[in-house]
Amino acid sequence: MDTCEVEFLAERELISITPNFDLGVLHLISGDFGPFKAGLPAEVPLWLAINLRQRRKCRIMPPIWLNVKTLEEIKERETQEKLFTKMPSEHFMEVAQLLLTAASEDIPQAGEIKVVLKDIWDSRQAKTRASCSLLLQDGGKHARVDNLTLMEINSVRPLLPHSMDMIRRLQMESSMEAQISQTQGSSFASPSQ
Amino acid sequence: MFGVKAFELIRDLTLTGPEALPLYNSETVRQVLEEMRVLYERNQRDVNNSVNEDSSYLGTVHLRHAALERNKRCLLAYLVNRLQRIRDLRWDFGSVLPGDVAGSLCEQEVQWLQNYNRHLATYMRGLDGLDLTQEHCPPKSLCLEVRCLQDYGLFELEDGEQVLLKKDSIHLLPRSECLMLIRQGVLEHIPH
Amino acid sequence: MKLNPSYEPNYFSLEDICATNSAVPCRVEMMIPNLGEMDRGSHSEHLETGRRLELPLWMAFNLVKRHLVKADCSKAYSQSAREILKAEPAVVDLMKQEPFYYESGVHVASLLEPEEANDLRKVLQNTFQTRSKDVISLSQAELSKEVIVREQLLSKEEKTLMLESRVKWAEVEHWLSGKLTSRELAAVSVSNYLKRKRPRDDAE
Repeated sequence: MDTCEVEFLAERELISITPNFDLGVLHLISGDFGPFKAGLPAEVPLWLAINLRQRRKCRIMPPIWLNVKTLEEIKERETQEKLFTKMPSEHFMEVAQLLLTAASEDIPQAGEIKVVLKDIWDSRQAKTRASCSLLLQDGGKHARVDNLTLMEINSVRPLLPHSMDMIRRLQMESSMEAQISQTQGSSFASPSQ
Repeated sequence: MFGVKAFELIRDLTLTGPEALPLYNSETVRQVLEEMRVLYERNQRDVNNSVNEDSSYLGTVHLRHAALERNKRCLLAYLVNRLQRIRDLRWDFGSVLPGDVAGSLCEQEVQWLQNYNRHLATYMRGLDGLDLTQEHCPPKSLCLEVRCLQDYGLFELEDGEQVLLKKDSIHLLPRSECLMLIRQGVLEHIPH
Repeated sequence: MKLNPSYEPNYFSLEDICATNSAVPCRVEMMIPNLGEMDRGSHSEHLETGRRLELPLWMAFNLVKRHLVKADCSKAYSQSAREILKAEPAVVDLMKQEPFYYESGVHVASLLEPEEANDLRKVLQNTFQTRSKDVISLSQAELSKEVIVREQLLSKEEKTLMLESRVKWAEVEHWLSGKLTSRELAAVSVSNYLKRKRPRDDAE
């Protein structure tokens, strides 16, 4: 999983737009969207919304949580709670990031929103790092990742899972060489890429 | 000491990053094979000596055999890791590797790459000609704004239109048609 | 898009071949005929009983199993080295001790008597776990003289984890600044290839 793939997944989230054109139903792999009538709100995948917005074919209606007041509340909760709090969307950071880049004129107080979002992100990242550190030091074999979003999980890959694999291997009794010398002469498993 | 030459091959591969391909070291490969031949012959001799219930040579035979196995492991690992790197480079650069890379391959590797290219092409033809190697990330747009880094000359697009790629000229080209030129260093993507 | 699975030693892995190349002190328990050439300190035609010499791990494995030699801890894993790691795991220069400190260590452990082997395995595990905190913090630290000095203490295994993690943080930071699309294209090109083809600084 790579950052651009996580973003790709986020682009499938649905969002409301107000088109300035008339068009029939669009048959996409992810489903049917439309019909579109100028001035009437319609729901489309985020990637389509951004594409239309870039060609000035629509206005984007930001998700209900993408405003300073709601985000300030989320930030407040996030800084007080020791654990991760639930975010308004599984892809809150990606959706916000995409919208603020492509359609900042459609979002009131876009500048302030950016600042609060960064605060929320940073405080959650700090928690992520601290808990990774703790987990590895204690030699934990599993971790609960409740309320972590995909982008946040992506940010600790590959470090966390690879380190945990390393700890698991160090706990094992026999070494690779011992296994090899036992099977010497017979065929070997093909290399894992 | 046994296995030292063979380890030089492995060291060759670890001195560069895993993405780069050092020159095929045919001389060292030859020397390793020679060491293996000598080990094998001496073992044959000692095995024959041991037939008359004299087991004192068994340790020697085992040690040489371990050295043979080690040499074999190093040789195979050298070849397999090189093939993996060549395959990865094929995905990065397309079916024709840049001269600098191509010169590092030995004859058998060139042959292998040709076969690999053929299999890949056959497989992709089965997918209605979809070029699997083109996008390594989900694409964002159909067209890309690019700057030309060298005098490349006329470039014909799929729709028949011709574009003159001159150094420092700027073009808006269909993504699928200019990606390979970007990888080859002819064009440079201008991010927005 | 290349998959990046975690390291698992296998027959073809360069890391494991390197890790099994490090030397361990051995004592010949049973005379091995005709191989006197391996023992530089002796003029005998044979590898004589009682001789002490350093053998690579891969060879020691085979000979220990057949009771032809007895292996001992190399300095990097000796009792005293282990005591230091128990006391202050974070400050030891593992790279200098043995580049693949953990991988080679696991191999060395399988040559030892059970009690000592267990102690070594525990030390390896505790050391890795304690130092993982440093690996994380180094992967996020701004490059500075101090960071570079601390990086040099890492073993190869730790360094790989640290560098992978550093690439990931940079990638996420880059994405946060809204420039992902250009990175995706910049990753592969001939000029980048020539850059990465140069020998790495950390190569021995």
